[in-house]
Amino acid sequence: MSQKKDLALMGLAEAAQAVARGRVSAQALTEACLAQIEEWQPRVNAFLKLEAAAALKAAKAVDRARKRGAKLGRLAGVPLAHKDMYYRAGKETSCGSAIRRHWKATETSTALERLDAEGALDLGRLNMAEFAFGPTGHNYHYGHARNPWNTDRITGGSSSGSAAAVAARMAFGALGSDTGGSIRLPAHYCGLVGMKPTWGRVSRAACMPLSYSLDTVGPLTRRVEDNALLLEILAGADPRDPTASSRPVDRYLAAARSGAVRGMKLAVPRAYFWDKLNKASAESLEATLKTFAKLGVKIIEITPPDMEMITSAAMVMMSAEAAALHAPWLRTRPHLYSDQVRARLENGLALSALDYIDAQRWRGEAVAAFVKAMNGADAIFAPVADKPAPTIAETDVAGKPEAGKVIATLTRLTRPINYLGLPGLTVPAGFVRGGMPVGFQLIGRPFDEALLYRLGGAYEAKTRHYERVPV
Amino acid sequence: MKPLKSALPPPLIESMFAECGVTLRPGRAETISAVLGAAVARFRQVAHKLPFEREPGLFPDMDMPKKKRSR
Repeated sequence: MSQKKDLALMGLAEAAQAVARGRVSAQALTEACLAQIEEWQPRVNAFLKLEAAAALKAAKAVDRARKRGAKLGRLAGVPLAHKDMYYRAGKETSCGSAIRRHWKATETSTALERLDAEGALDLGRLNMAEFAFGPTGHNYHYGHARNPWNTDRITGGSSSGSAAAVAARMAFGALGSDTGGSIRLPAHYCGLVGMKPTWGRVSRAACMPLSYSLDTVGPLTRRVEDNALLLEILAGADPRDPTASSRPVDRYLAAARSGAVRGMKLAVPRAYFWDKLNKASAESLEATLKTFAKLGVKIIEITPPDMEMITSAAMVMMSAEAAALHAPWLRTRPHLYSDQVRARLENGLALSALDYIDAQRWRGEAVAAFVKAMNGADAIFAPVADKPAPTIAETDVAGKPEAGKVIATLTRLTRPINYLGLPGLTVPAGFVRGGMPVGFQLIGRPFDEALLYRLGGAYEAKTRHYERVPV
Repeated sequence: MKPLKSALPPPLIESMFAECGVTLRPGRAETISAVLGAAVARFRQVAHKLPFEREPGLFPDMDMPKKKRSR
């Protein structure tokens, strides 16, 4: 294996440390990623816009700074790339849409500013579902993203390019966003770690909105500690986003590395979550539970509250908020939307304010019922989706009448968690027949991200699924 | 389980689109009625029972105390 390839296979935290200690240059890391991009971009369509020259220039600046002994940030010289919905002043941000194809942002998102401040490099803008409103990774304007483990299969969405780029070792990590499963689903389908934080944990300033009450910003990475490091940098209060919580940020990286899970308790909600699970996925999750048990984690069975009701409430909330945001364009430029996104956005126009307000009013009660059902457990263990990645062809429903059903099926295990605002961490559980990855999700109480990283990190240290690489 | 009657009949949807000034394409009212109308009907089963005093709050229970850790 070439040296470039070896560098691209490193973990994000490992790469950051290697640069800080002078064992590898930021330029070499960037060139390694660019070599991966050259090999994989034609196959997976992860990037919408590559900024190779700018990334190399920034990498060389990091190397010079290190040589003169300047203090480096925690991500100095590490190449990342992000879903094309994080605004950067003066740069185009398409949001995966035709409507914003050449739109230029006038401000930079807090998420990007925080990564920049730690010295991260930005390789370019990544593919995504149009306006982040699709769980498969189809994009009719820029081409569908494809799964590096099998390019006939979906990446999942809406953070499709983020998952494809990180899984194919084109970048060490990427920002996604999660309104109904858009980080956790692609992480599951592409064998990655994906964190949907508690609502309000990470600032959404200068990010494309989809549904104010459900939108969250989070990272996709190959390893748990990498994810924890990124969230530790991203999380925290922000005067530019009044919904960002001022609660202190926990030490996620230390939690991910602690390994101390003996005596912790995981709750397994078989009802609803296991109802439609395919056999291979179910077997994989049972093996995962056995691993947790060997680590000294106590497994208990619980009965969740009415998840169908929570899903319905989530649908009301998301439909109303997304329709309100897009109503001006639905009036004036409806032909610029793809059929599926237009149809889904229109739905909310039929809702009354009364139903929307009631969906907001019920939220606290639903959270309390869900947390009570945890029965004292530290976290919930659940599948992310009913099966591994389906094919691009079988989920290519565009604006057909069955589209709603297909989308609802794909997101039925993730969407309720957005309504509840709880943190959810997808962790790779291994591979099933055909070599496709599957994951599981750990769902915690509000602001319990550190605990999820602790559990995920201990499991990963035991299994090391990240060592398997798509070819 | 008996399917619920849609909470959003097509004529209502047609009037809402007209109100918003958005073109309603053929067949869409029926589709929205079937999918979203069913979700709304289901949700109204709990919405109708919400206490009078309950205010819309994003996460009124978000600051609940964390579970005590064993370590």
